[in-house]
Amino acid sequence: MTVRLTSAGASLIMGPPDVTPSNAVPFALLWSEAVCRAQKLTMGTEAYFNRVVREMGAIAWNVTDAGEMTYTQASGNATPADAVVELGGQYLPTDQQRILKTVFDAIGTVAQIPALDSLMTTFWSDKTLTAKGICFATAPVSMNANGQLTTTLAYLDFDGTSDRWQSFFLTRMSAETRLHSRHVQLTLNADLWQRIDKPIADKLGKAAVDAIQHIDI
Amino acid sequence: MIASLSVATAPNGLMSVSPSVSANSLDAYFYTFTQAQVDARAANPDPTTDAYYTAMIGSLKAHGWTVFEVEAVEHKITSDPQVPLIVCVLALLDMVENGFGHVFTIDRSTILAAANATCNTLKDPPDEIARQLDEWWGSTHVEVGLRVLSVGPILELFGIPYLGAAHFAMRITADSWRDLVSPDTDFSFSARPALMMLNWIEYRQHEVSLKAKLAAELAGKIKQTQLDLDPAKAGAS
Repeated sequence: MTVRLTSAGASLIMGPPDVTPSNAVPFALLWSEAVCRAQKLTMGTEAYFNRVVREMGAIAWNVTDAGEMTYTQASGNATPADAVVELGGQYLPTDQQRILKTVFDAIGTVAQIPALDSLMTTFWSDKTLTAKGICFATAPVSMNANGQLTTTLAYLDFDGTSDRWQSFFLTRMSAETRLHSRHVQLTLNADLWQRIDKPIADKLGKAAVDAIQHIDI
Repeated sequence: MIASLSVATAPNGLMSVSPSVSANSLDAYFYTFTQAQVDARAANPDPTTDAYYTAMIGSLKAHGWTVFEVEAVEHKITSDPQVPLIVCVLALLDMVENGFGHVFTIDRSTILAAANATCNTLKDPPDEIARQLDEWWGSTHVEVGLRVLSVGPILELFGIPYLGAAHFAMRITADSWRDLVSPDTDFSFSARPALMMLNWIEYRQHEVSLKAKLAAELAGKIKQTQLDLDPAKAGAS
């Protein structure tokens, strides 16, 4: 299975290389995050998440599932990434679970894929560490049973040392760790989207659109 | 340790899906649902809250969906000899059968037998399995809190779109994998489901104005929205 990993702002988007419209997820996430920055909201907070959901809902994405999870581990044999995959099993459709696991497994063995190492290093360097940890989003993408583009956006708020992406994907949790996940499943209203994707791209600007990176794994 | 709870916490796809949902049904669903989100966000921006769910259902009702609210399920483990895993399975089976039983059927006995077999294995596992579970769990203390909204996917029967929705809440605290099958575990679970059927005649009365209103609102919104395109401020407060 080939999976396209796309980094757009604070989000790692992952899915089949041939989903259409291919710009719907990265453009909508870049838009929503830019709105949150304009509102001076802190990533990982409830207000930030609610604003992202509100913006996505306002630009042709319908919320079909939403949930919140807290996960506290005193110690264990897993990496934070393992916990994310395990938690994802609770709310992701099966095909999106498989996509998330494929990508996280690939990142966990990244030494063999230099281009992926480069993408992750760039993606992680764009993050601003909070006092307690780091926050970023995952967005596995698939077509649902009705043939509509669907993604499950999860904002992961992780307490721990996270100045390098390796600390999340490769290092086992050794001290008490808290992982907080807020997720929302969104399905695209494609009819509405085709009316707005160009105005959205125009307003985001060339620099933001050009900063989107992807690699096929 | 969390995987064994998935039956209670992975509500994606409550309903079987017809492979031939018509474009008209999908169109009606998407536009009424887009409007329902606008109305729900006005009530509460958090889609996992009961207020959001209530407003969403109310809006769908106002735009042509006939809503059959199903009896809510609520459970606290304190005075019940059942274990969390079985409680979740039973509650969900009841909810699905009561709410959606006339739309599709489920094999209750097979699902319950599988859940009971899992419980029995976890209650009295062979030494080798217990050793592996101990090693896997480590010294972990886990607290999981969940609030979940679930909608759809859409189903079509004889040209009529059906839509299922539910709001769930669950909380569990566990120090060991054994807690998942212990009646003493601190645990609660509730679910509030609804089944909806589109009334085409009523929807057609709203259709033109609904689409025009949403398209106009979108165009205006994109023009007016303030953006900050500096990604370096991603975590700024």
